[in-house]
Amino acid sequence: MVDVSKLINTKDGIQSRRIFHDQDIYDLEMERIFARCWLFLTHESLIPNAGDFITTKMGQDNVIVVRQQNGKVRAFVNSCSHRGARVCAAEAGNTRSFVCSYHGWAYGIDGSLQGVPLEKEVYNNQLDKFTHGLVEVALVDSFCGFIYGCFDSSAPSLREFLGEAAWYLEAWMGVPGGTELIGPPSRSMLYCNWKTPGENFIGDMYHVGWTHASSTQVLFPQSPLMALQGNASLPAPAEVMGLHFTSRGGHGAAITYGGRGGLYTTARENEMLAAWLAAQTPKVAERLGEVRAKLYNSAWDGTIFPNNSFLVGPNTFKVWLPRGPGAIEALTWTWVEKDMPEELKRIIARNMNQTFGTAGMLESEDADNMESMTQVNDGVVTRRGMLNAQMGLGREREDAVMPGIVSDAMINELSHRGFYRYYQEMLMADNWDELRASASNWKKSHLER
Amino acid sequence: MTKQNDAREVTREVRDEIERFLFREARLIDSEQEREWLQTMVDPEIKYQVFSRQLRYRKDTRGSGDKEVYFFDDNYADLAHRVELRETGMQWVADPPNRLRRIVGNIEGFEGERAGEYRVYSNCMVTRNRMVYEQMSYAYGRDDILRRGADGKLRLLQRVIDFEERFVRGKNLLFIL
Ligand code: FES
Ligand SMILES: [Fe+2]
Repeated sequence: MVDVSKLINTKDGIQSRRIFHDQDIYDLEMERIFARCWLFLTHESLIPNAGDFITTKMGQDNVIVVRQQNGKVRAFVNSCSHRGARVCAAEAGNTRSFVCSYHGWAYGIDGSLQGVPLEKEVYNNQLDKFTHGLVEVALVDSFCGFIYGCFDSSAPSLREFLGEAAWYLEAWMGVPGGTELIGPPSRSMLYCNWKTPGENFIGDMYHVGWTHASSTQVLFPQSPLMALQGNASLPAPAEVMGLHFTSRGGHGAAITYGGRGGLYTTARENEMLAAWLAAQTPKVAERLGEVRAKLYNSAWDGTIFPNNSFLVGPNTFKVWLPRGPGAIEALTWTWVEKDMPEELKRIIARNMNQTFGTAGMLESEDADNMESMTQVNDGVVTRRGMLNAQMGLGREREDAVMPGIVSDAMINELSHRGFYRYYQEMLMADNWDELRASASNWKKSHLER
Repeated sequence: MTKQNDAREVTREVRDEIERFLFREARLIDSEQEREWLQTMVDPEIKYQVFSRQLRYRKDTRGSGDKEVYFFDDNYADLAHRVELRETGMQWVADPPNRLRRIVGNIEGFEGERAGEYRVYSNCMVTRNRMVYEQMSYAYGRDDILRRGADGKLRLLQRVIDFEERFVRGKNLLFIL
């Protein structure tokens, strides 16, 4: 049995390397994290009409997400109640029913078993169709149009699960007019543990100047981030440049003030975005306040626990689907603001794919790191060691306006520590009641020295 | 990709020229001479696209949203950026060097829509070796337009690849396809 208490030490900012390697830890993660947490499914904009569906995975469970006649979205395990074959092979589409390809059992978009071939002849009419519907995902809900699902009916609401992070997420997801995803996603294999890209996106601004030394130089000469290139010096003190936040649920981000613009490859494209931001900022300020209007104009890298990451600026939106301890499927979309002119949306999507898509210049640079930090732990001696996420330790604080815990420096590892704090809590807790009981004192493990 | 089954095939002479073009292109790209490729074989008005189709049922025409995602949607400047990355000397993913090796086959050439243009189909198999243990393979079809410049030489004006491997096991497509 895994001793989870030894894997993570939040106070000192260290983690066992075994979390990127061991099969029994992985199995526990599937049970205790992926079968209990809210997981990203799709966006309202990708399934606008009744009968619109997409297929995806929650952990390693295949699910269908489908809009009902009444407009609600429900999700079902994509496996037939007869002998278990998949009932939907397409990635997306519009349908009135899901028909199993093995013997032809047919399910409605509400998951109910509607038709059984030769029902009278071979089942003598004794099959109880009512109890043979598709297994339903217990909870489905959306936040600012982003749809998440949760297998555990005792879990808190999605809003509660996002907790303090919701306040931050609204600064880009919840702006006037709203946001949407441009689909379909790219899908690619990476040979890394699912947590490695999550912890990279949650706030690793340290790697930007080094891992991406060539691409920042070639692609972002007009960006303030360009100044990080080579990790030689900072253009301003890190605390002036931005901050980190973490939250009860492990969600976090690094935010670089004023960094949202200048990340596209031509001056014209950057000017178009700048004009959009300038026009929108007063409206954002009116709805969300001045602080979040500032965040709206910032560059972000963030992760929504456990496996959903995003960037503001390059506007990528990612899900890391686990495929065992050493492999993932990366799903990648572009997010845009709904009211943006069509041309600007296309510009953003094109730039996103050039940097963070399957042929993305920055994406591929990250992948080697994600993979090597996973694979080295095949060595029994190597994986005895611990990993260091101590950057910014001791600088955490609470803020009068910004919820959760923040740390003034966007090159920081506060959000890494917050991610793994909650990761450990999830692995240790037997149920959501235990997690609820410990909710009130989560800040202590970060603030008490 | 609509194949031009009834389009006029190019002459034997032009067909040889097209074949030499594609083979030279393959050699330049595979031997890290992309700069030479860009300067001597790529038309400044190039449109270079690689896309992936979402898998939908044949009968399903009603589904919402885009059906494709573009891995590449590059013009000349974008391609130049990709080439420039390695030239910075700081593109760690290409150091130690990746080794590419491709086979180009099933080449067909047709007269294009405009004079001096040829529509060229070819199939490609690429193996990428990198970092001691990694070997990845990619197979795809190319739908190209070559244009004859004022200097009489062919240049790549358009390449469209409908990339068939929906879930890319070879991690990424960070090379010229
Ligand atoms: S397994 Fe689905 S109909 Fe038999
Ligand atoms: Fe990165």
